[in-house]
Amino acid sequence: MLMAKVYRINVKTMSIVQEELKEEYRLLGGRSLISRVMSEEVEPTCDPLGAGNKLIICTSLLAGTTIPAAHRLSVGGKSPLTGGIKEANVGGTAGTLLARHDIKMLIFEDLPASGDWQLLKIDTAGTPELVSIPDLAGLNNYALVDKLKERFGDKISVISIGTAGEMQYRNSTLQVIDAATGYPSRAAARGGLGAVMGSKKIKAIVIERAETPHGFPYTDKERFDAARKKLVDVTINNEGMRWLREIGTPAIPDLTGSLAILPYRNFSGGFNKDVGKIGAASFLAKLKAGGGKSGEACQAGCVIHCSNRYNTPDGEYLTSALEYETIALCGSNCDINDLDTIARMDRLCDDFGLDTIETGATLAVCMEAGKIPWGDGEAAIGLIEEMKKGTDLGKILGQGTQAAGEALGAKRIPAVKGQGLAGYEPRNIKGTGVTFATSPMGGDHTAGLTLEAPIDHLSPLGQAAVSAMMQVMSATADSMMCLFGWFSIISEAPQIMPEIMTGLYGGVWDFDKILDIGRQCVIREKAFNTAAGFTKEDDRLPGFFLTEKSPATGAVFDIKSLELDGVLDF
Amino acid sequence: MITFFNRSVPVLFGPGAALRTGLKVKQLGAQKVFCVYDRGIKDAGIAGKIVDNLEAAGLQVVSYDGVKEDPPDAVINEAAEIAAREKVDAVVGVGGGSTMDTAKGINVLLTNPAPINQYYAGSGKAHQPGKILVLIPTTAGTGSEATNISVVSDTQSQSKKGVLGPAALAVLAIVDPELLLGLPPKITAATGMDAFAHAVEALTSEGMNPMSDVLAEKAVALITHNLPISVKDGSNLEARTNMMFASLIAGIAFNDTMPHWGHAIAHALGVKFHIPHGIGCAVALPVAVEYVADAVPEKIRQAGVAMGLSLPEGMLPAELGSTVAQAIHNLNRRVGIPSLKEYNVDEAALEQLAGNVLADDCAMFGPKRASAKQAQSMLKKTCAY
Repeated sequence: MLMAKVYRINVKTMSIVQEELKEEYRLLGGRSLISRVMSEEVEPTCDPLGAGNKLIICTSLLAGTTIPAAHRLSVGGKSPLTGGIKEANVGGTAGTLLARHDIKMLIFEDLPASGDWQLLKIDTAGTPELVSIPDLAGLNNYALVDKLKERFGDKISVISIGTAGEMQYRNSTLQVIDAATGYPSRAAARGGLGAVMGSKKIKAIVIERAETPHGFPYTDKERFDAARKKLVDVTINNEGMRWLREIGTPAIPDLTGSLAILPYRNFSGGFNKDVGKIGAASFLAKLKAGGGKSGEACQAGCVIHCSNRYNTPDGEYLTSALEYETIALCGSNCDINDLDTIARMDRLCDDFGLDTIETGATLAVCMEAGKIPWGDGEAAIGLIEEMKKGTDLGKILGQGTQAAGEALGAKRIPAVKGQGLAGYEPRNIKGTGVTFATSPMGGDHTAGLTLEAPIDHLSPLGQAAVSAMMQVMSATADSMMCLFGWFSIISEAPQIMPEIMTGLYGGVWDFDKILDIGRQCVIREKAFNTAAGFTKEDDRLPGFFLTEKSPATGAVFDIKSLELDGVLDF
Repeated sequence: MITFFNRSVPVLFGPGAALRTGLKVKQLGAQKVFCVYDRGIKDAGIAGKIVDNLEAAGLQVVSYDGVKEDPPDAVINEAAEIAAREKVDAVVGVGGGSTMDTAKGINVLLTNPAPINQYYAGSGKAHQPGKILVLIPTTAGTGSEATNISVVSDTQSQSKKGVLGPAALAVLAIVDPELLLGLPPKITAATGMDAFAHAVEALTSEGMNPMSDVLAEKAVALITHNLPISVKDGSNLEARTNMMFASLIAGIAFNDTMPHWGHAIAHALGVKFHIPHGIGCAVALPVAVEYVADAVPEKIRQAGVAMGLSLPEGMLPAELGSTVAQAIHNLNRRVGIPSLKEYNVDEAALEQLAGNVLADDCAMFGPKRASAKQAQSMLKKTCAY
C-alpha cells in the first residue's frame, strides 16, 4: 500500500527531504502522531526556541477520507509557554489541501543560519519549496494572506504567523484560512507554537490545490462507505448537538454563566450578572443586526457548521468564528460584556497572531493588578495594541499570563504549567479543574472538558475518573478528527468508529482499541514532560483555587493531591 | 413494630454552603424570591450577603426584615400578604427558629387562604403544598430547617401553636457553619441547649424510633463536647461545624419523634414570662429527664453515656435520672445558662402554668403522662436551677 508523505524541512541547510510515513506511525494522526515524533526526535530538555526543537504539522487519522470534519490540522512542538510538549489543532482549509497532496506531516528542524524569512510553498504537484520573502515579513495575518493570494491565487490555503510569532511571543499562534470566509481566522492557538515557527523564520506555508487529488487507499471501501453513511446520519441528526449548528459555541455562556463556571473577573469565582449581554440571544441579535451569520463551516465537507461570521454594526466583516473561549476570556473574565468589543479583540488577536484565551487571561491579570480598569474594553484593546507595537509592557504581556502576572505583581494568576486557564472556573467544574491541573498540555480547552458529564460538578466525587476518561477521549478525538464531530458520533453511536477504522486501515477494531490511541498519546506526553523536568508539583492548580471560596458556590478546589497524582496512571 | 421514617429535607451542608444559595434557588426554578430575616441578621451583615448572592445568580429579591421573636400570627399574616402581592415564587428564610417559622408560615399562605390561624395542628384543616421554601439557619439550635412544623404565637389564646404539613417543610436546607462565627456566647449557649434538648427528648420520646435514636445519640455527644468550646471560642469553625451538624440531626430526629415535657414546659415559660426558648429548654430538660427516668431508664442511660458519663450497671432508674439530670445542670452552668431567678420568676407563679404545660402539643409525646400535680412539681423544680 502507498504510504503517506512526510517532508522534513531543515531551515539551516534549507534542504527538504521526502520520507514515507513510518509503518509504526500508520495508525497515528494529529495529536498522537505528534506525541510519538516528539518522543522519538526531540530532546525534552531542549530550548523551545532553539535548534533542538521541531515544529511538526500533521493531519489526522481520518484525513483524506470523506468523513465530515476529518481535516483538523495539528501543530506540535515543545511549547515556549509551558516548557512541555504541545499540540494545538485548527480547522480551516489547510488540512484538506495537505491530505489531497497525500502529505501527512511537515517537520521543520534546526534554526536558520541567516535572518531571512522564508515561506514554504507546496505547489499543485505537491512539491514543497522554500521561497525567500523579505517583503512579507512584518505583515500581520490578514494583510499577509491578501498578498499571498495576489501572488499565488485565491485557491490556496495558508498557515501563517503574524508579527507576534515573528517576535517569538510565547502566546503566539499559527493562523489558517477559514473555508467559509477565506480569512486567516482559524488559530492553532495554545502554547505559543507561533513563536516556534517564528524561531525558524518560517512566515507562512502556502498550499496550492492538488492537480490530482490523492484518494485515500481504503482497505475495505464497501465497509467504510456503509459505516460512513451511518456516521453522517448520526452527526446530522444528533439533537444534542443541534445548538452547535444553530448558534455555535457562543451558546455556551448562558449555561456556564448560570453555573458560575464562566470565568468572571480573573477567575474570581463569582457570577457574571451581565452574562445576558454576551449570551446566545445577544449573539444572534448582533449577527442579525450586522448581517453576520452562524451555521458556517470552517472546513470543506463539514456537516456540523458551528462556525460564524461576525460583522460590525455597519455590516462590515469583522471576524469569523467568534467562539466561546474568546467570549469567556476576553469578555467575561475581563468583565467586558459587549460582543462588538470582544469581536474586535478577536480580530486583532487573529491578525496579530495571539491566542485569545491566553490574551484574555493576561488582560484580566492586568486588570487585577490595577493596570487598567475592569470592564474597560478600549483599555484592553490598547494593551493588545501595545503587544502589537512591541512596547516594553507589550513584550511582557506577550509572554503570557504567568509571566505578565508575575511582572505586574498580580495576587491571583490563573495558570497551570505557565499557561492561562481556558474558560471554565475550576472550583465550579471540578472535573475540568482536574484536567487543567493534570493534562500534559496545561489548562487547555480541548484537553478533557467535563461539562457534558452527568455528575455534580461541584462535588469532588468521581471527578478524577471523569477527567481521566475525558482526557483520553479528547486525545483520541484530536488524533482523528474535529472534537465536535467526534462527540457528535460517539455520544450516539460509538460502534461506528471501529467500523470506520477497519474500513480504512484493516484489522480488528473495538472502541477500546480506538481509545488506546488517545491513552498511549497522553502517556507519551506525560513521559516527555517528566523528562523535561516536570514533577507532581506542576500538576496543581494555583493555590487561590484551593483556599478562596467561590462567592457563587462556596466551593474550593478540593480534589486531593493524591488523586491528581494518579489521574493519568492507566 | 412498624416505623414510619418521616420524609426529611434535602440538605446542603458545610462551611461556605450559603454562598451557593442563589445557584440552588435558581436551579429549583425560582425567579422572584421573598427573603425573610430579622433586624439582628440584617445588622450582622448576613442578610445582605444572602440577598446579594441571590441577585448575583440573576434572581429578583423582595426583602422582608420584620420577623419578631416567637413569631406572632399577625406578623406572618402580614408578611404573607406582601409576598403574595409581590407574586414571589420562592421564600428564603435566613435566621434562627423565629425566622424559619415565619418563612414557613408565609409559604403556607402563598398557596392557601389566609389567615395562618386556621391551619394549627388539631384544628382539622390541612394545607396544600407551598412554593419553593429554602431555609438557612444562623443558629445551631432550632433544627427548624429540617422539620415540617412552624411554631406560631397565637394572639388570641396566648399560646404556641404548630402548623404542620408540606408547606412547612423546606425543599432545601442550606446549613452553613460559617454563619455561626459571629454569634454571641449567650445566644450560642441558649440555642445550643435547645438543640441538646431536642436530642435528649427525641431519644426519650414516646415517638422514638431506631433512626431517630442514632441521630439523637450522636447529637448529644457532639453538643456535650462542642457547645462549651463554641461558647468559649466562637471563631472555632470545627466546633461550630459540629454544633451545626448536631442541631441539624437533632432536628431530623425530633421531626419524627417530637419532643415532650421539657419543650412543653419551655413553651409555657416562653409565653408567660418571655423566657427565651433555649433557656427554657435548658432549665426544663433536667426536670423532664428525672420525671421520665422510670419509664425509659435505658434511654436515659443512653443519653448519659453519650454525654460521656460512666453509669454502672444496676443503677436504679431514679439514680440514672438524677445523675443524668445533674450532668445536664453542669453543662448548663459550663455554658452560662442563667437561672430563672434572673427573669424574676417565682415558684408560685410557675405553678400556675401547669395547665399550659398539659395543654401543650408536646405533652402528648412524653413516655409517661403527667397529672396537674406532677406538672406543678416539674415546674417548681425548674426554679431550683
